Amino acid sequence: MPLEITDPAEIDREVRTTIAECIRDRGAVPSLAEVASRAAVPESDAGESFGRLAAARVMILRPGTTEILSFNPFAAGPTDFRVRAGGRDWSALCAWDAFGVAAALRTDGLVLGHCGDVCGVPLEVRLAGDAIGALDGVVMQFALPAREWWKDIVFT
Amino acid sequence: MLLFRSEEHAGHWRDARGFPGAKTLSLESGWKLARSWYARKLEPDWRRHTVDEAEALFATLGLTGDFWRLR
Repeated sequence: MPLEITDPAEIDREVRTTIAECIRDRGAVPSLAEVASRAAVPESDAGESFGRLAAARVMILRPGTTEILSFNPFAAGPTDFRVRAGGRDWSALCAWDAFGVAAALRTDGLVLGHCGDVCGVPLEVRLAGDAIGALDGVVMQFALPAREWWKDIVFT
Repeated sequence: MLLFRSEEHAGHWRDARGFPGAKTLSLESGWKLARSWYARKLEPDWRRHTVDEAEALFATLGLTGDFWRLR
């Protein structure tokens, strides 16, 4: 039986915490249907909440859908950035988010990516406490200034 | 935000793709930034940083100047 929550802010909190629980419990970003079921809210209400949370930049939806592309830093599907952390494999949309997966799980992590330049050489970054393990010279690069990140967040 | 084998590779990409203002960050700074930004994302009481908070956070990591301004 769906809960009788009518305050959009309450629904958004319930939906957000349910997404976080799914990530912790299952190691995966949930579908709209799963969130609605677990949060015991009608799917239509959960879908509206997804829209509000995306507008508030809490997460990114797949274009034209009410399914999550990334509950940043956790991407819903395979990407160019893979992360091993907390005994599971994860995906992230960018290098910052890949580091963020380990940060959000509050654990060490191994980021697996590639050089963004034409060489495409595989790169590994080990995150362990305050220590970083990687080839000498590896850097992260931000293409756009901070104020422009959300103009095209998927590109960013 | 991408990873690059070296500053040279980052510069080549920057020139080839037409992003002359792109900025590189050490992995150490990137890890600090990620931990500061995302540490509470899965917590029930998480909330987005305000613009002031985000700019202050950047500043604590030495990320200052126009590139890191949010308005």
